[in-house]
Amino acid sequence: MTETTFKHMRDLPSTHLLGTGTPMCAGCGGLQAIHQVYDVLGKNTVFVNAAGCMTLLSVYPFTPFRGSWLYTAMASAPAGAQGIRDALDILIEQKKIDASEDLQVVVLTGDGSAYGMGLSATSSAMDRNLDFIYICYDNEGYGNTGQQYSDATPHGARTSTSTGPGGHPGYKKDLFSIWAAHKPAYVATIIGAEPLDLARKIEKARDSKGPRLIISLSPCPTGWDFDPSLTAEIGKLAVRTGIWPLKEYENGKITHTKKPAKRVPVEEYLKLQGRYKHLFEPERDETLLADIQARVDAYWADVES
Amino acid sequence: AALYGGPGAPPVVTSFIGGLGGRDISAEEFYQMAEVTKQAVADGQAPEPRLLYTETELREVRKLQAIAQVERDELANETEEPLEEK
Repeated sequence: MTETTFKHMRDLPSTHLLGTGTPMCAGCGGLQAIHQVYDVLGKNTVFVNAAGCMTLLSVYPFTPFRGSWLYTAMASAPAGAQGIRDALDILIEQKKIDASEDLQVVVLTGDGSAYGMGLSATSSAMDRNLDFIYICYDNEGYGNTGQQYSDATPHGARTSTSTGPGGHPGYKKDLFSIWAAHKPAYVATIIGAEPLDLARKIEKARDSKGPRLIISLSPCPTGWDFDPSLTAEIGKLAVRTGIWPLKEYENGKITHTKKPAKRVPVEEYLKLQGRYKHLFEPERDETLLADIQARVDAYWADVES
Repeated sequence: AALYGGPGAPPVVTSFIGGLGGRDISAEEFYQMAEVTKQAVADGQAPEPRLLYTETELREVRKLQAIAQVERDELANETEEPLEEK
């Protein structure tokens, strides 16, 4: 196992590179993760941002980044990244900029883009072995337009377009496996509520080459319907219930970086969120609760074997 | 779009961006857009594209820009290298 600079919480960066003046929702789990990711990735980055919640990172003429920010159509961020990567390579080859001025190209999209319309561009980027990092902030819906369901919306969650008695009838797409099937350099899941795990994975991504893709589960007070002060607690519960496995894919192998020893019942995570209120009121939906728990149990049973 | 290219149409297009994220555009805003367009025809040229904001929204945006500007100024003074506004 390679060495990490982040052995303890005190090793985490204290830089706070990300700037102020963004109109993100209070308690945004996506911004929570991006803060930490940016502190590890550093200033020598250029962000390629698909339309989504993080459109709001920019209040013209400002962005909170120290470097440049390219805004693309929702499906096109990996294509934008290809253009920037090619441009940097050409400039360096022609000695118009020095190799020391090279930048990491970082795609930033929500789940709407990553799990859905952007999947084609991402797939092709991996096919071409594009040297880039992909950060997906996953708040399990199209957040910026009012939390319509996306391919990342979990079974039973209420969204503005999943208003039936059982919530969303679909199931959360397994984007981790889809990306890993392309055999890229690195795939990982992270969450802002687990800073040490996050920092180690971003460091690993930062210091390697090729397609490196990260999904960050992003608790969303606005879309999931909970008080902004609970973002970190809900994030921790997502991991402790086993609903959000923290894992990485590298060299053909998948490793779980945090295995909850004794999983907390998923109920503890669900009951804090208004989008799951129909599972508890006016009366408990035991069938749906049991179904959600069973799926989580089945996942971890598979991991153990 | 329905009127564009029709016979006798003045070669002027005025641009407005609004209704993002499901916002409503009020009738008054449409009347104002028509006024701006009529004026553009009279002037023979269109003004720059306009974003539609409510008064509250515009105030909030100005606040955020001010916050961002203050921090950028502080950073520029710290490092002594000029930070470019894009």
